[in-house]
Amino acid sequence: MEVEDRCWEDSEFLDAHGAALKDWPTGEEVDLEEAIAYHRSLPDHKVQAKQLAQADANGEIVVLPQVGQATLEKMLGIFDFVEGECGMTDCYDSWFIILDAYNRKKRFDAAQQAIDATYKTGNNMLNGYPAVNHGVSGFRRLIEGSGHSAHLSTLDEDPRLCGEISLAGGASGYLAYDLHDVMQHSREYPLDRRIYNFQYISKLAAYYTERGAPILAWPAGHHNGWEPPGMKIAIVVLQVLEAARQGVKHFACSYGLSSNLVQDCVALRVMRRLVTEYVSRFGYEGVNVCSGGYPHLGVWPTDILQATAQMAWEAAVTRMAGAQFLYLKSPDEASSTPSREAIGAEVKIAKHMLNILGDFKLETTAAMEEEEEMVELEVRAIVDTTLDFANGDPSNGMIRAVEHGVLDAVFSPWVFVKNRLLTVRDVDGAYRYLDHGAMPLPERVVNYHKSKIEQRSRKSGMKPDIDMVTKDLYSLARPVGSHVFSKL
Amino acid sequence: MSSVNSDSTIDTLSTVVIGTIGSDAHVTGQFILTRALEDAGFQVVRLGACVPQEEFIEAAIETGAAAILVSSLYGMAYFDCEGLREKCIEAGLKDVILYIGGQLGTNREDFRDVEKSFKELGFDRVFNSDTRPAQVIENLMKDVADDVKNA
Repeated sequence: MEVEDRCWEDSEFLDAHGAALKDWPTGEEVDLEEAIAYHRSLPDHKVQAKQLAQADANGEIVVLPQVGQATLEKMLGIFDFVEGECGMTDCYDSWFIILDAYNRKKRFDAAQQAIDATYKTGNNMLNGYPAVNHGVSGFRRLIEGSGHSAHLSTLDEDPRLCGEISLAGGASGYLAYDLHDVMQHSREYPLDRRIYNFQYISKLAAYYTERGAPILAWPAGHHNGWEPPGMKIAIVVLQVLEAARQGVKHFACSYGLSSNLVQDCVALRVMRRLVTEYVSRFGYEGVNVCSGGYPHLGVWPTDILQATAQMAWEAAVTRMAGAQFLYLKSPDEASSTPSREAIGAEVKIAKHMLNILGDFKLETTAAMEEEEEMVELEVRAIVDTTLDFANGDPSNGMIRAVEHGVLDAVFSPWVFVKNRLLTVRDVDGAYRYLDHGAMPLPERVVNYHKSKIEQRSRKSGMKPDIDMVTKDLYSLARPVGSHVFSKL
Repeated sequence: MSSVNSDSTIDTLSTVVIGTIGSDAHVTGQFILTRALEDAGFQVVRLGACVPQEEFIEAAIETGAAAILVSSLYGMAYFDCEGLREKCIEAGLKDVILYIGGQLGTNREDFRDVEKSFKELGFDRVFNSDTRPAQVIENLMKDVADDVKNA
């Protein structure tokens, strides 16, 4: 596999653009010049890059509830309810619109059947919003029916058509993923094709941005939820470098929270600092980088009150870390696609928690300093090894790094990754490598993780093995009173 | 296919097929369950993510599996599973044990309603997302033993 590491010419992008729109009839609604004019007419609070820059300047947090249902009527009903009755009224609020699973795999026919079934039964029959089926005009009804900005989860393998439709429809952000996406969502999609698709959508975002319609890129380090921060942040750095190569200027780097205060605060801070550093080292100018939290990706408690506590905690951590945005999940997370009441609840919970904390930021402690040093060493080792595989080219370096297990995952569905990593939590609940596979970790980092695992093992009397891995997967989903790591 | 000894526990290897159905890529559950099933003495054919109905059936025929264990976490399981039991019967797998587990609905239904609707689709047992592996294994051992007795 080999991809070309270069910025696309406008002309070659426009040639590819025509072909990408042919997968479904609504692609014909995309008119780039008209869409750019539409974006330029939007007020600042409907433009994510502007919201985020303002939030950063004012020490505020952009709050992003997630929403996705089958029909426009259901979507607009949720907007009305949450914006009208649940306090989603701030100029920094924004919607994260989840694409349904059929659109993600380009099964637009299947999505249409589920839309029809939704109209027939009155029950929502999709786990997200079928953006391609509803087209550009549908997305504009969402943007105009809400008081806020939005971006679409432009997943999974081929985000070109849903990305084109959502941006033309007024979405002001896109998901800046390639490796993260296949590792998290794909069975056997080739990385070189995913990189090509990522170059395409990043070039699309840059095309808008260069014409006065700034598009915010949302790279992620969520991974599969079980990895320590080093691997997550390394993948964010590499994806940002790839998108910046196409001319993308605004980045909201999202980190999958681990539910450990020290590790999460450190990770959010290190991610912003190192992404900024690598971008500058590569000579990309005028790039803005922010960081924020994404909710726990592991098994959620089915108990609504436990899930509520989890959400409140994540808002608190994001504020204490001094991050700039927070994605929200709902108390329904473990059992269903969230209802309007559940989405309303998540907004209230997060905002109340952020208000309680005010401007409070956690001061750096000795434990945080040590963790920060280790995370930073880990990120640099992974990123630098990856770049060295291909003379500083992040894309071809990434391809080689996956082949060598330098970039790896815990329990990924993607058949091309080695899947050699295993993690457990330490006594404080921070993620540690039980097996770091072929990751190029410095000896100090390996010993740090090892000593933390040994400490838990001593306290709990349990062997650190696959049973501990399995127990930890469920740890936050356990009934209250039974998930103290020092006893597991 | 499978055999039981006199006290109805599995004494030779029973094969089961496990995978995440449809367009769903959530595989953590099947990684865990595979390991637990192997520890309990089962042969496990793990099909991974985004598995079509036909692939479950082909794998079950090829390996003489006693059970097909379907996983789904993304809420679209009902659509993905419609017709699976009928296809099994057409393929000659009349008696294959069918289980499903995970997060099975897009609305906040009572689990008893979810269980009922999936049983109507032809599943023998239906599990919610916080089911522990031991519970599945216990049921599976019993169902495999019953199947052998009734054969």
